Amino acid sequence: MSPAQAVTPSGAPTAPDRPAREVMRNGVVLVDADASVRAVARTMRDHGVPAVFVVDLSAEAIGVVEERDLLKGWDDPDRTTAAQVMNLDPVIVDPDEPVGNATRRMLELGVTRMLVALPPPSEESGRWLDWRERGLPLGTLSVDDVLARLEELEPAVRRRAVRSGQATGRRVAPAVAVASILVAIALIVLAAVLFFHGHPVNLSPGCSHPTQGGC
Amino acid sequence: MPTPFGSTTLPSYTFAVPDPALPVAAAMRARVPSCTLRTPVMEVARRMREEGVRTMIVASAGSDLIAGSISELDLLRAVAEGRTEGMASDVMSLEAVPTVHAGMDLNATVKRMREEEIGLLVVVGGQPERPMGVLSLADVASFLARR
Repeated sequence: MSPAQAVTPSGAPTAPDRPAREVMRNGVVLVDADASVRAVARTMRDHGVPAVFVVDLSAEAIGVVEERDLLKGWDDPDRTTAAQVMNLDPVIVDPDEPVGNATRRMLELGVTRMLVALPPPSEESGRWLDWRERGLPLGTLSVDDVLARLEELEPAVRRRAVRSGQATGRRVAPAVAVASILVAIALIVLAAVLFFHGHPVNLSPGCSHPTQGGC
Repeated sequence: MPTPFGSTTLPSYTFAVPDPALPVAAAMRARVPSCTLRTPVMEVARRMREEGVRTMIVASAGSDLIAGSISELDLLRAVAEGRTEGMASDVMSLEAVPTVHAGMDLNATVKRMREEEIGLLVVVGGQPERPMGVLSLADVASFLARR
């Protein structure tokens, strides 16, 4: 898949959009797989990050721990390890994917954070199914990163979402209103036809007497 | 009285039993990040960033009544649909904001947050009862770090 091309099928130049690598929070904080949940919480606090990556002995990333995952180790935070609470399947975004595209996926999936990792080498792409095979992630892209630069990114975010049909929900209401007005008019006409059936309406005065014939 | 076994021998034993009498008030943030129904959407985004929270509570102006909440995803959706000119009441979600009493057991509350997948609880307390603060995932994490 090549998301950068997939967004602009017409090939036309689009409004300014930024690749994910320029908006993301750069770099990752690593913790050992055997680190306790409390140690992970301290690492998050000391580095001011809401998510850390768990690495195994060979320093390969094997999972992500977010604030939400820390709750799983609340009962015994000193004995529960990072490997026991980590998320094995985070949402990945390519560094070159436009931010507008990435935010649309966030809305579709209902997630607030994505991992920015290099795409697998194209000649072997069939083999690299697991995100861990991509090597260490470059950073994270969160909703607040996007919201913090809203003045700059708003056109990109809005344009893509509207084109994909995300905003059609609000256009249903006018259509329903028009349809119901048409139905109401049809009912009035039908009632009028039934009411005046057999009683032709003659608007000319003096021409309506039954015994004197027409005018 | 120091024990012959230093903390290196039994590093985690002291904390293995959770503290039974820990109230929610010990971990909460004693401030409710809130806006009114008429706050502009862009102002909500700015204030959310300043307060460092992921959810804003929407309250009626001049009262403690909670009308709804605005999450980061609600804001992003508003931007995506071109509704940034609107007010907080246009983009907020109307689901009831979960609340918890300040005197509740913290362990039970954390368990509830985990099971019901709650990201932010409004902590109420006092007489008469009114919002005192919030308990978010970040507050739980930072409490875990400093306890």
